[in-house]
Order: sequence, then C-alpha cells, then structure tokens
Amino acid sequence: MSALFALRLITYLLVCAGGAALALAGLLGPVGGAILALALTGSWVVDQVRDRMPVRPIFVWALVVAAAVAIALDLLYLAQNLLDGMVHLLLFLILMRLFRRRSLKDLRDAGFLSFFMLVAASVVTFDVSFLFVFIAFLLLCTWMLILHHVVSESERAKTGVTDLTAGGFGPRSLLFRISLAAAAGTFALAGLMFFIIPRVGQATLPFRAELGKRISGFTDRVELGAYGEIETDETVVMRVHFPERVKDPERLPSLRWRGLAFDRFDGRIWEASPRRRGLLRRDPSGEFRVTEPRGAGPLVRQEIFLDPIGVDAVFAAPRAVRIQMQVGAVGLDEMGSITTPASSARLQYSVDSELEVTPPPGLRAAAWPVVSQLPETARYLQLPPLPDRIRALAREVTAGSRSPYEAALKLNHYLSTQFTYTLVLKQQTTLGPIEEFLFVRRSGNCEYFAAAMAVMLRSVGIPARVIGGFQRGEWNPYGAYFMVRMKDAHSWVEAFLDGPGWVTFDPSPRAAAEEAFGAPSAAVLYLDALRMRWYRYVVNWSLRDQVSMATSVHRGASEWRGSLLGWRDSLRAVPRWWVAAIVVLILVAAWSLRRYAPGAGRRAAAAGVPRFYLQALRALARRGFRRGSAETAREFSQRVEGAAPPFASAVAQLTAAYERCRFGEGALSPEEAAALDASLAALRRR
Amino acid sequence: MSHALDLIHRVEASVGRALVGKPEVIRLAVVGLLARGHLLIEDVPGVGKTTLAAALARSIGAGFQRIQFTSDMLPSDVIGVSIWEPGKSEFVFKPGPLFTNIVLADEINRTTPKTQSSLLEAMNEAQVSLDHTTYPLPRPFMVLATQNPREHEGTYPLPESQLDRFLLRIRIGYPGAPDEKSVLRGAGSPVLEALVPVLQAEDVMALQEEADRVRADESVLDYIMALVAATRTSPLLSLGVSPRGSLALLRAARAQALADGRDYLVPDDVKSLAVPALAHRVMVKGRGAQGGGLDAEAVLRSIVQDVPVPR
Repeated sequence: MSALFALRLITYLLVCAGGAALALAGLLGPVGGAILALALTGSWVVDQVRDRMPVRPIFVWALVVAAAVAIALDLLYLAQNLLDGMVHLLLFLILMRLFRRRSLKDLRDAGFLSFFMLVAASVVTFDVSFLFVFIAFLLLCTWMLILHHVVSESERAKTGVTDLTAGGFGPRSLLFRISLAAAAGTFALAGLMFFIIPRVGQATLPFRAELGKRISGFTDRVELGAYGEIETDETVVMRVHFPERVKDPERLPSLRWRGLAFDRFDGRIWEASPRRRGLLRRDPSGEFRVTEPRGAGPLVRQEIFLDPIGVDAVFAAPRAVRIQMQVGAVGLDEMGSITTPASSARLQYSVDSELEVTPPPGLRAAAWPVVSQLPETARYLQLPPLPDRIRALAREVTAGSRSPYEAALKLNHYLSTQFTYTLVLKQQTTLGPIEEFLFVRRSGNCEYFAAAMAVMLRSVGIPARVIGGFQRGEWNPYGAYFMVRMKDAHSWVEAFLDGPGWVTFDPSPRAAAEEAFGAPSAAVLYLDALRMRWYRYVVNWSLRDQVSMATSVHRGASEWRGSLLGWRDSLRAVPRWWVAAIVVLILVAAWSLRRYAPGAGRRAAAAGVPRFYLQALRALARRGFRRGSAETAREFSQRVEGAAPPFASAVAQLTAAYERCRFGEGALSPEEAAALDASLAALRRR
Repeated sequence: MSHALDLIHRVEASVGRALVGKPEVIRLAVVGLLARGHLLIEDVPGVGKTTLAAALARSIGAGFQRIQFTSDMLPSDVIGVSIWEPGKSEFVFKPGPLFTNIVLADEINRTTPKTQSSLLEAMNEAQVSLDHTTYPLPRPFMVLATQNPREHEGTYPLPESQLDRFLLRIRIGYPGAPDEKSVLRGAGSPVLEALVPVLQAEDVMALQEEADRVRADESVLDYIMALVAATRTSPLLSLGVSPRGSLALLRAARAQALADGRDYLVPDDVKSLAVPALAHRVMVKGRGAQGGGLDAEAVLRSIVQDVPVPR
C-alpha cells in the first residue's frame, strides 16, 4: 500500500466516522446516510479514473453552483432547524473537497471538516456510543495527520516514499503503533483537561433540544390501562444510586419511586384536581426542603439520574424530605407531588427520603366504621356513581375490622390474593372498568388494582388517592444502583389514617408475576453500568463534582501523609535486628531470583541479535516457521526455503546479513538496510 | 579475502578432478590442511584414500610420500636414521619418508605402537628428534593416516591419546553410481599425473595464517564450550572431549569459515565439523575406543541436535 493510498483511505474512514457520529445523534437519517455513502463511493471512483477521463470544468462548476443554491435554500427554508442546515452544508463542503481533489490539501481539508461533524453530533447526543465513535475518530485523525505530514514532506523533498512504505501501514507497522500511542496520549491528556478545567455555563449549544420518549401515563390524567402499552418497554429511564453507603439496598423496605398523585376519579380516568402548587425555596445549604422528617423511618439519600421522558414530575422514594437539584425552582403541591420546569432535560438530583415502615408508627385507635370526616380529606372520598355491588364487596371484605388500618390491610390482602396480574387488558363487557375488573375479569394491571382499592377504600370512608411512579427496578451490581425501566411504571394507593397520615398500600401482585421473567444478562447490566458512569462522570460532570473531587484528593493526600507518619512511628517500635534480618532476606531473595530467573542467560545472549532478524523471525513465526533452539540460522533458512520457495531469496538474504552482523563485525550500508527492509516487507506481505 | 577463496577453490577443483564426486571429503581435507591438522581416514580399501592424498599434494606443489605400515616396521623406517659416514667420520642423518609435506600413512594400525608413537610425536611437534638433535619437518606438513575399520586381525589399535592428535576423522565412502561410472570410463588416463600445482607451499602457509585470524564471536566460543561440556556430561559417554578437542574444533571451524569465504565464524561451521572433529576423541560407555567408532558418531550427532545454538 502506498502512503498516498493509505492517506486517502484514512481520510475517507475519517469522514465515515464523522457520518457515524451524525447518525448516532440522529442528525443523519437512513436516507441521508445512504446518500452520503453513495457520494463517498462516487468520489472515490472519480478519483481513481480522473487521470483517464478528464471532466470538463464547466460541468463541475455547474454542479457546484446548483448544490450551493440547494444548500442555501435548505438552510433558509427547508431544514427543520439551524443545526440540520449546518450539517447539510458541512457534508456538501466535504464531498466537494473529495470530488475535486487536486492536492493533498483537499484531503486534509476534508479530514478537518469532518471534525465539525463530530462537533455537531456532540451537541445533541448524550449516548455512550459517542465515546467509541470519538475514540475511533481520534485514532484516525492522528493517523491522517501523521500520514499527511509524511506524504507532503516526501513530496516536497522530491523523493518517493518507498523507504517509509517498506514497513507497511498494517496494524503491525511502526506507523500504526506510533499513531496509536499518540492517540492514546491525546485521549489521556484531553481527559485530564476535561476533568480539571472548571466547568462553567451551558455546555450544550441550544440548537436542538433533545426530546426523549414521552410517557403517556405520566400526565395530569391517567386513563385506566394507560401503562399497559409501556409495560413492555425495556428502556432504562432512571438510575438510582445511593451515594452514602447503604447496606444491602435490595432489602430496603417498600422502595418505590413516587411521582404524581391523583385524587379525582370519574369511573374511567384518574386526574389531579386543580392544584395549589407552591414554589419551594432554596435553604441556605442550597437544598430544597420539602417536609420535616418525622423521625420514624430510616433516612436514605438517593442520587437519581432521570432520562428525559417528557414528564415534569420529580421521582423519589416516598417521603421525600430534601432535594438537591441544579434548577432554579421546584414546585410542590399539597398531595406531595414534586415538579420541575426542566422536563425536557436529563435530570440529576439527590433526594433525602424518610422510608416508610410497617406498621406505620403513631397509629391511633380510630372509630370503625368511620363516622366523622375532616374537611381537608373530603376530596379524597369523592366517588363517581358506582354500582352497589362494589360498595357491598368493600363492606364484605372489611367486615370485622377494628380500625381503618386493619380494613385497608384486609382490602389489600383481598386484592393481591384473589386477583391475578396481567398485561392483557381487553374490555369484555359493557360494564364500567372497575366493575368488570372486580366481578368479571378478575385480572388486570397495577392501575386496575390501585383504582379498585382506592375506590373500595373511599366507599368505606377511608380517604385514598392513586399514585403514579415507578417500582423499584433491578439492582445493578456492577454500578451499584437500581436500574428502573420504562416497564417499571407503576401505580399504587395511599390511604389517610389518623395518626401516621398518608400510608402506602400496593395491592398489585406484580412482583410475584414478574419473578417468572429471567434476570438480565451480566453483559446487559455491565453495559448499563457503563452508560451510568458516562452520564455521571462525563455528561453531567459539573463544577460541583470538580470541587468535590479536589476536596477528596486533598483529603486522600493528607490521610496518606497521616498514615505514612503512623507507619514511621510503628516502625520505630520494631527491634533493629528484625529490620536488619528483613533487609537481608529481601536482598537474598532478590539475588536468588535474579540468578534463577528463567531465560536470563538467553536474554543476554540474544542481546546482539540484529533487530531486522528478530522481526524476520516474528514474521516467519506467524507463517508457522519457528526456529528450533538447536537449529542454526542457515539450517532454518534452508528449511524455510524448502517449504516455502517464494520466501527463499528474502530469507537467504536476511540470514546472510544476520550472520554478518551477528558473528562478523559487519555493519550494514544504507543500501543493504533498504534491501533488508524490502525483504522483510516481502516476508510480511506474501 | 576473495584471493584466498579463489586459491582454495582452485585446490578443491584440482583435487576434485582426481577424486570424483566427493566434494565434501575434499573440503574436509582442505580444512585439515588450512588448520595445520592431520587427517585420519577410516574406510575400506580402494575408495580413493591414496588418490586424495596424492592429489592434494600435487595440487599444492608439495612433496608427497606414502608409507605403507606393516607390523615389522621400525621407527627409523619412518623418521630416518643416523648413519656413520666414514669420509666425514661422523653420524649423518638420513631423513626418512616423513620428511616431506604430505604423508600418506597407510594402514597405520598395522604397525607396532612404538612406530605409531614415533610418527604421532612427529605429527604433533612438526619435528623429529634423534640422538639429541632436532630436525624440523618441512612446512606445510600434513599426515593423512588411514585405517581399515573392518579388519581387526593383527592390528594395533591406536590409543585414544594418539587419536586425539588427529584434527579430523573422516570417511570417504563409496562414490555414487554415475561418478563411479565416469571413473570407469576414464580408466587408464593418467589423471593424477596430469594434475599441476595450483598454488605453492608459501601460499598454503599464508592461508593457514589467514585462517588463524578468522573472527570467533564470544557466542560461538560459548557454543563450542557447550558442545564439549555436553560430551563430558553425556550419560552415554565414558570419556568426553579434551580441551585439545575443543581447540581442534575451533581451528577446524576457522579453516572452514575461510574456505567458505568468510572472515568470521558462524555456528554452522562448528556444527558441521563437530562430528568429524570430536567423534574420535570420545569413548562410548561399555566399548573401547575402536569398537565404538560408529556409535560415538551417533551420540555426537544427537548432542549436536540438542545443544542450543547461539541466537
């Protein structure tokens, strides 16, 4: 492969990497990708036949002008937004360079321009795959710059590049290794700078907002069965990490991620009545204080990464006490639903929650059946017109209870044991959905369970509301976090009890139904953990993280110093002769290891073996020829010549030169060295 | 360098005209000559031992004598004798057949140990001592001794200490069929007599000096040491190679390198000469020095196949 050919190939690959980045960011659809691939192939072919079939310049100019006009129109009127238009212009410029390639400069420009494809993609994608495209781009770019330099310098010096091409450009060539090392160095350096340079302001260019998948369920209205369609979606939408070491997070009681609460039911749809939403104030420590802890359950801090799902709810384990979030304001309504205006952005926040315990503490003996109602809980008793048999069933189930809590438990138990969980939700009768669920189908998804329980609770006078959120999700041991998928969308019930207040009940036997599914493979978990780290340490890397990193480095350093001092003190206590004995032991061990190290003598003997011969031996070894230990170079050469005649001359030449350099005192002349390189290349190539 | 190579090639070509189809034997003979060594040719009669010696002598324009050893031979028959010369009233030394450049000592194992040792002493020191006077032998001096491995009746086997004095022990072997036929075809024409000297005795000595200057890399010396050490530790051998043996191997290898046109040794020189230079210096367990001839070669070949060569 000639250096020029390699340079062209690398440049094209670079453009392809840029295209891949665009495709990843959704800036280049399948059609656009196909057009780009066609155009690239076309320019490659044109480049091959240019000398044989000269194109009249007028055609080229006509083509360029037409394309330029099209791009201008696209930029002004056609493109959906500015960024798309920019990308089209960029692709046009790159392809023009490749089509009209006259000198090395055009190739280099095409390579440089493809960098902007990467830039354009970087502003709209947060995907971890971007990292891999970026690494490939970095490697190719380094390679291209090195090759460009080599080719242009050799053109300037008016010499062929044969001496450089002799080593080849394959994955084993020196050039490849150098570029790999340079790319790795660049990556390390850039990574260091990324983590150290202060992160200020908005990193994302405001060209195009990322809109993730919208969840139809998480709105102010929830129709029964709405979660059904998302309950098969495996997309991970939320990751919950416990920054303060929590022992055995999987055993934490009743872990759910509460989102929105609904109080009004019309027989088919749950909705939240017009809310009195207040804005929370930041307290002096920079956190939003949601409520006061009751001191009943364990206080757990969660760090939550929420993908944009088009919902303004802030999910957290109930009951959220404090929230730390990088937004201007956080809303809170009287039902405890926390909202944020930044619903289209990826959110990262920390929440302190006081987990609920069972039985709820502070339960007071209350009258049963419920007689009096507090005015503030009246709205949680609203019911649509209901068939009498629902009320009768509720009374029947709760009969014999001594308190509202016991009645609620009975209802919960009744629903979770007598009904089955299913995702097949088909209306079978003309009855109302709750009635059909309770008396005909006797199976449904979480919303039916929650709605039925809330309705039955209300019908016996216990204030109740339906909550929409996510169930706990799967524990990912590789990243130590809970992985919450779209299909984990869940709804349950909160009932108001005198004393503890709102208490969670989850009647759906969902966990039992889902245990039947197999656990995700380790690879899936590992990949998701990688994604989590990408979001945590790259996408969401903030000034705060930098400060905390600096603090922890400082603390670590001082601790290290402290432990060093401690070591010194404890060393003083050790008797002198002990120290002397240990030093002597170490010296003896080192000496004997050195003496008996395998191959020490052979290494010394091999010191004088010329490099080219070692390379030749390696090249031959790859072809299955290995020199025996008692085989002389000449015997080996004859063996290879006998078995593989095409290599005969190359091997004979290398062997003769090896003997002269190794055993005589001969030095190679430049011509001989070049001839040897050619022979080596022949060994590798064929 | 190229001059030396040219001379050597001329000698080999010249000898090759007389001894057809045996270039490797001729090469070993030339190596022996360049290394100032002596050759023990062990083979059945009639395969060209005499032809080899005579052709070599003629090609280098040197004197040639053939001594047919018999059991009644006395040392004086070999080295010469002092005779009373009445005219001068003193003993005058009459040099024996040994006083020449190339000596063919035919069937050396047929003569008594006394005569054998007088010859071998002369070989070792390149001089003859008689009646407190030392008579130097002409230079170059080379003995090609033969012995028949098949006949043991009435022979006096050479003791290993004497065998040690030969640089190389070689075999000629029967010629290949086409070569033998060409010999038959040319029978009657005086090939040997037609040979003319291609170089002079001084040239031979210059070549010998050049062979001494061939460079031996440390690793090659280590290789020789390793080979020799392996013969000393081999469980199959009761007697390993003496330091004289390793010296002989080095000298022979240097001559071989020169004959190959190199001024440095490569491991191949050592490896290819290890059997001819060492096999007659070792004793195989359970056998005498003579009886184990073939087996010693087999043992040495296996040692050569095992000892790692310098990388």
